[in-house]
Amino acid sequence: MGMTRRWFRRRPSDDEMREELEAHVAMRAEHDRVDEAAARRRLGNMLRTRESMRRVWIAEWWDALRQDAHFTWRSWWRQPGFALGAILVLALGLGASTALFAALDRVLFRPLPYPDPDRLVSVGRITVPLVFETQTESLIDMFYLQEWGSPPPPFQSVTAIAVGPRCQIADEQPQGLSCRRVEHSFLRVLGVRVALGRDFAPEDDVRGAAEVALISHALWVRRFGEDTGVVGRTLSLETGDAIGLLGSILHVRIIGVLPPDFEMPLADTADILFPAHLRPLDANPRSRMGLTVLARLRPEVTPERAKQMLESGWPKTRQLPVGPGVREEWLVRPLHDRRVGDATRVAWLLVGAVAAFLLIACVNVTNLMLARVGERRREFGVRAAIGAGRMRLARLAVVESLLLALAAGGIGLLVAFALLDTFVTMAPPGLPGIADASIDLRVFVVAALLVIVAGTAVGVWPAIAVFRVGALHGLRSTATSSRGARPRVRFALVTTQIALTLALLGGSALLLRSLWNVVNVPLGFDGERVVTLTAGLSPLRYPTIEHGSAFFEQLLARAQAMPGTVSVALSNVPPPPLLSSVRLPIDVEGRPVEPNVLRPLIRFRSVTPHYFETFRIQVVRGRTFQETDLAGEPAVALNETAERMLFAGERALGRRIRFPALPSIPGLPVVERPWYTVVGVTADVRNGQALTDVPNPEIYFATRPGRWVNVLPAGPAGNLSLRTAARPDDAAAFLRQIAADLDPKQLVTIQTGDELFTTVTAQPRFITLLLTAFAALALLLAAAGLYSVAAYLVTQRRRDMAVRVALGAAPRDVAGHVVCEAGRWIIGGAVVGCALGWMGTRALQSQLYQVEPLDPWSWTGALLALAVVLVMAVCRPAYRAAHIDPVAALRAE
Amino acid sequence: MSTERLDLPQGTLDLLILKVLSLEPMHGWAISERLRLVSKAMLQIPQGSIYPALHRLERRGWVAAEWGPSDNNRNAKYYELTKLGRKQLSAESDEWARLTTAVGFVLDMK
Repeated sequence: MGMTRRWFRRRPSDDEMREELEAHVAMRAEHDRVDEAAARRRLGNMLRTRESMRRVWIAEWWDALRQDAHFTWRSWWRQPGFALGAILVLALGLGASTALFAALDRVLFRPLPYPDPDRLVSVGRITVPLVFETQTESLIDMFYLQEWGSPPPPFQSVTAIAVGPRCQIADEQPQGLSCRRVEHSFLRVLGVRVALGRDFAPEDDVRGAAEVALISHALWVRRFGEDTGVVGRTLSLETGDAIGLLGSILHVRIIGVLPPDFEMPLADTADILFPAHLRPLDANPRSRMGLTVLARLRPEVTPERAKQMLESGWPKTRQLPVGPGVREEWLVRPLHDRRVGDATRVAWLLVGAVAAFLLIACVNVTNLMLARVGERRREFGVRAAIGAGRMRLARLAVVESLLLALAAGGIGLLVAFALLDTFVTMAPPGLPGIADASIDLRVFVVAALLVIVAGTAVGVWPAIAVFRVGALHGLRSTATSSRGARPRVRFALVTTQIALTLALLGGSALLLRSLWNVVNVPLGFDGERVVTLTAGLSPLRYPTIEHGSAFFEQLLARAQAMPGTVSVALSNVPPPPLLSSVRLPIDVEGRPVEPNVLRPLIRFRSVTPHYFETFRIQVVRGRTFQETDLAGEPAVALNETAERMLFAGERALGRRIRFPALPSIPGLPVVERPWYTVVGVTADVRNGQALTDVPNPEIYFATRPGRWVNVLPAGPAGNLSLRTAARPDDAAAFLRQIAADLDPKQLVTIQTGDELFTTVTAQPRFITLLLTAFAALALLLAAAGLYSVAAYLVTQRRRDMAVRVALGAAPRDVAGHVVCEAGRWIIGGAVVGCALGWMGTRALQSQLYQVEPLDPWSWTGALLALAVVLVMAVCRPAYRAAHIDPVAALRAE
Repeated sequence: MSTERLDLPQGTLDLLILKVLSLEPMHGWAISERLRLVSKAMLQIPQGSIYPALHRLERRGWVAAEWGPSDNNRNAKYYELTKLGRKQLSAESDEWARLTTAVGFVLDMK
């Protein structure tokens, strides 16, 4: 008969109880030869009988639980140190896990906020291998409109998102809004209904139709105070058109409001949605654009199957001229994957770390509880002897651990609230949805599950240990006897803990070294005393490029006159380390262009003289830009990578380059671009998406703002960078004042070099900080665990040791014995930990910069830290062992 | 011999049921009938009180229960002593013997 079945024995149903009594009545009637009513009377009050039968099952269970809880509470009260310690340790583990789950839920687990989200996919063509690192699937509008008039077979419906203009409400304090152009079917494909008004209709989405708009719920609340009369009202917006240089005023009629919980499919924000007006196809090929295409799969069609079907239906859909060794293929992937992207890898890494931490916390508490079982052997022995069943005692241990977990869960929830706040403020960009992370019902349920699992896990070994004590009837072997069972389990637990801790320590050491490398990566520029200003000018007040350039020229002149200014320059795109997003292929004079070959895209910046001085970018060959470069012969500078790439080992100085003629589409008048002479070659600058990317080729054109080749999808925009001798914060304040004097209505962003730098290193900082915090806490817990076991060892062997001391052993030998024993388990843990770390750090590889996963320095450092802390933990027990007073110890027997 | 019926001391009913069941598996009615016969109707046992006691024993794992056909083809719940129950029976019988002996000694005191 199973012992465990006894506690959780199935309670008979009410029907069963009734049937049992009915059988009795029937037999009684038959035997006594009376009718059923009489037999019933002889049985007594049937209702009450059934009630007391029921109570046997319920009350005993509940009573036992209450008694156990009461007993546990009293024993905690007697030893508050144990209870507090265990609860805090577990609360930390549970709190950290809960907070991390809340933060990463949207990245890893939560389904997309649309009905039937598994059938939503992102569809597009992609070059293999990727021609540029950030490429994602897209379709060119020409193909999409011509070939996919109705959805292809694998899809039930298809919709597209076009490039959206920057926009803001005219005549308002500047606040950047984000507007998106989408096909009229957009909301229907997602399965979303408007909260107010109506959805886009097909006739709204025809080129030349009157402009209509859906506004976000947030905008409706913020700007219109939830006025339901907003539908039908006309809104004047300043926008840039999709690819134009200049903006315009757009009068749109609001037709509806999006629901409050609406999220854009790619987790970007949209304040206003317009129809894309793609049809009929624009005759002007110069306005070709890439579309983000979403589709809803037919039931029973998988993304892989959809891809196969597209490959057979449209095998040769060429979108881009493709170079040798590069081919195009279809990419159909779940929308969730595209939305989350690379964030999953980081997220799983953090989940692994927090799981290890929770495990360590559980192991630690188990260990503490086992220590208590050891201390209370006598007590349990007595209880077992006077008739408390062993089962009852073991159950007590389980109840205790569950109560412990419950208390820890409560405190852990508070910890989680605090931690989540920290996570959200610290989190790097690129973890979608983290800003909305909160501890809601879903997170609460997961936290409750964690509590139950942790409580059970923590209780199992102590319950078994108590059971064994009961079996031995514990009185025979007293607490001080050396013949007590060796605490094998406890040692195994300590070893596990040490192993996990080492793995965490090693991982965080690797990340710390990697972060160190990232922070100290030679940037090629010096942003320390630099302040930058970025402004996207309102197309309403700056309708032409001339107006825009006048603004920047004046800004430049005033910034130059600012006290403390060392040098100032303008540029068309934001300064490093931020991404220069503008890339084009480049023609080299005297080298014929091979048609239909995809040439490398080269990042470029249009800058005014003093740009290199402002960022202290080193000019390796040739000269820096001068004022005369703006008026005279067009001048250009390359970085070394660009020189290598374009001139293949030859010197670039004095040669001429240009942008390719526009457009590269046959059948249209060709616009030739001017030639620029290379006057200088600069050192490479970190200009990629992350500091750790290899330097990209980059070209600097010496140009006035009025002649910027600006391909940003908006009105005139530009940046000013200023090196100051003053404090950067003061300079920033001064610059803000200057901009406000020039145009009080213009929105500008001002950042110091430090702030720019921090945004780029946010992700490695975040991961490193979290993992290091987990590792440090884990180390502390491991030390506590080892201390408690070593102390237990000394207590248990007190008599042996006393005898040895009495027989003349030196105190040093006795202490050495304890240290040796502990050392064996440290070494065991370290070996297992290294193996664990070796497996675990492969997952870490993508996060490491210029550090090998098996970096000897990191691992040695981790081992050293572990050894030092653990030896310190063993010190006190060893000291106690060395100072055993043999007389007192032996008398105590 | 007095004709007055005796009330059962607290907790003894469980012992009696265990004893009766040690002979063979039985259903509730048979147990109550057997108790009445064996005690020569001296013990006052309300028929209804058998069932909560049986369930308490089942709950503690001293008896196991199974539904089966009775002699006259009725469906009845049969109770059977478990190994644990047998142990419990012998422990409780010993205790009972010691108790009655001890009480007897005191009462026989001259």
